[in-house]
Amino acid sequence: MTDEPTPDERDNELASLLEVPPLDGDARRRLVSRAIDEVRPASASRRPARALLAVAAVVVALVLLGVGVYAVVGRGGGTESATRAPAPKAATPGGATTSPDASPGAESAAGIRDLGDLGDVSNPATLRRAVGARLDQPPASARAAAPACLARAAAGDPPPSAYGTGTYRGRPVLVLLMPRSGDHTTAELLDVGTCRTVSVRDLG
Amino acid sequence: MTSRSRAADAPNTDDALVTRARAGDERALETLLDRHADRIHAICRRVLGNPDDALDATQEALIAVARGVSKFDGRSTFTTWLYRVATNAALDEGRRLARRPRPVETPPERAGDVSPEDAVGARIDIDAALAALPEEFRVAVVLRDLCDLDYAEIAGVLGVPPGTVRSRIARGRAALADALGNPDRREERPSTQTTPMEP
Repeated sequence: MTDEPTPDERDNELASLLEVPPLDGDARRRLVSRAIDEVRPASASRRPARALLAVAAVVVALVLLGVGVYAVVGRGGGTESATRAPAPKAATPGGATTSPDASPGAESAAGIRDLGDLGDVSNPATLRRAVGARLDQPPASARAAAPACLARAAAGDPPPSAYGTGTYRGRPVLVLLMPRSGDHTTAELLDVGTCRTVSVRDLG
Repeated sequence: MTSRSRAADAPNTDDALVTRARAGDERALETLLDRHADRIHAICRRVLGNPDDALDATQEALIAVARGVSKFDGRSTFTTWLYRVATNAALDEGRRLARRPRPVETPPERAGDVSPEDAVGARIDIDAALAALPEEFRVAVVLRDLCDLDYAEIAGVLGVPPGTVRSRIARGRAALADALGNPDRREERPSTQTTPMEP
């Protein structure tokens, strides 16, 4: 290897110009966790399945409890049709009722502002404008069916502060606004088919 | 001793983490990615010049590392392999972007577009100076001066002979010196024209 050139000295002046500030801690953790998720598709898909099973188990337990209570109360009141009574609906704190089979996505979307359709968000400037315009408007009512990927994102730490939909390089995406330290916000673009992050944009 | 405490006692050198990651230790892989994410991002940032594109490329590079670590054979150092993955991710992203029209509203600033009045005494953005460089010069300079790889390592990353690496670095530095307005360096550097490389 004697014919190899001897490495010149590193250009320290240039090196200092080329240095890049370290990634924001949140951004780095998110990038790393997405990469880790990529190499465990099986276990990653098992995790939400487990969560769904847990939710289903709780719902079934509540239904059975409700049936039992109804049967006891019904017998005490002299009715004999207790066993034919329909399963009661789960009561919300506000007194409204929801169907026991309400999707976890709809539940998780509660409290996360829906920005609606943001259009083509491939270009960062367009994305920033669309998000800024929607945030300046009064909140609209959330859509009836929350996007499927939202449930998983809403369970994250931190959860998104708002979400919208759009297209990124021609494919439909869910846009999640993620609060970061120092009053910064990033927009995470998730492919709606795979819930994979396809882009992360700094909104400032 | 529990497996958790054994893991905590395990050495955290890159080689040890790679070995554990290859054996399926997710925590080791996570530590490895977290440790090198900033450097990967720096490479992508300097090769691509745009912060948003750099984040996209960084994500792709981290995914490629996570997927590829099980196939890392140790013939080069881990960091050399890592830098190769990061460089390829950045170049791939750059080529993908080049196939798409850039938005008119945010044209990339180039060193040559700066008026003489602005250039005199003003700090010219390193991104603009790098953007004016041919890609092969830019990558070679980034790997040498940002990552501190030697010529042989850069030759391994880029798959070109060390002599070509030397030439690209010299030409790249000369072009940057011109763009950054450092006349002292211009004299000692070769022409910045893109001419055929020596083998």
